[in-house]
Amino acid sequence: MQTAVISRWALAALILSIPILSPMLMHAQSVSGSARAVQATVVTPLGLSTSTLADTGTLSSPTDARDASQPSGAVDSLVTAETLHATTIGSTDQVASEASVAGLTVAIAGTSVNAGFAQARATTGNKGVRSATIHDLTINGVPVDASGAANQTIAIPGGTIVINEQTGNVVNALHIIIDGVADVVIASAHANAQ
Amino acid sequence: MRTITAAAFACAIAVSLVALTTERTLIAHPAPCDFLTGGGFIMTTGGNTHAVAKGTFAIGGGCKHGTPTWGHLEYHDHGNDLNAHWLTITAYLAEGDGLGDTSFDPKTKQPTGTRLVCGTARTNLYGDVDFMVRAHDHGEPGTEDQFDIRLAQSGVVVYTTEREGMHTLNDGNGGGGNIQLHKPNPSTDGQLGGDCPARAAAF
Repeated sequence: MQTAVISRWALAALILSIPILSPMLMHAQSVSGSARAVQATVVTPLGLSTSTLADTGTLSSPTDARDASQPSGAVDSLVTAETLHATTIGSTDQVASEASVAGLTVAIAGTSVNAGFAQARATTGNKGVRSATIHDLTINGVPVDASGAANQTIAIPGGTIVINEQTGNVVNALHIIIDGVADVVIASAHANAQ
Repeated sequence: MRTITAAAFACAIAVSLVALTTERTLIAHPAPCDFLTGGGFIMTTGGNTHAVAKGTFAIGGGCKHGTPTWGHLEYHDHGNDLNAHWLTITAYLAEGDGLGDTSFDPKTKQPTGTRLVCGTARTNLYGDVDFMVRAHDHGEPGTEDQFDIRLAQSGVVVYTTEREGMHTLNDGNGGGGNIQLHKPNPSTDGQLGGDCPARAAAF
């Protein structure tokens, strides 16, 4: 009898709790995010060597917000840039990541890429944004119009440059690949919520 | 049995009351703090101290775990080669110390509005300074966003872009980039606030 009464009240409490718990359950999403201003991987006699500048690392939870910045940075003689920054901000149902650089110069195997400014942004959600903003882009001194379209690809000697590269949950403002030599990503933003 | 029954009933009522109170509180007092991030460039004379040149910037501000001290600042005025690199973030404020100008971008479902990010920075021209950044998110595509900066030392402004009027990031025609105001996350349970000595500095 006592057990039955407790069970009935436990059931009543559970029913009362459903409207309270359901929003929490609905928002209990898994989120991940990261951003970095520069990642350069080069082929060396000892294997691949990867360097990063202004890298947030990965979100630890929906309550996390991470940032990284530096006034200027360089990866050997390969990449130089200024006012680098990266941010990734979690939420219960959304992630917003962003990275940008200014005064960019990349020089790889005889190819030079310059940009006055490059920024990548990625946010999740049904109004999520995946975009890249690039100003004053030149390749070997020739101005290039960044169309704004995703995955605008330009062939260069020995490789390719992808502008506004969008793959899965990642947006890269610029991705410069010289086959067998180097792989350089400028302004990368990753955001995912499931 | 009566004791157990009463206790269970009281527990259920308490759970319901807590839920109702919480819901009412959330509606009446939405999370007051948020985040702002952005990068780009303005065209500036550094307060009429040099010819028009690029001022590149990266800015972050907000409340993380209840404290308005999250963020960073990088700024480079190419006209006089001034570099400012943040040391601390001391305040994150809505312009006018209220949320009155905060609106909503239906395109992104993110808020829009103006925030002040304050702190200390190390510069190559003035030594260590107090700084205040005014950043405005006008919504997408960011061409009407605004960025301005003020540096102060011992209560006196030593550098500012404000004398030229508000600088808009109008898609490369005088500036570029994007500033984004982000909706609060579960860690932004604090209030906008903090100390901003540069805001009160004399011109």
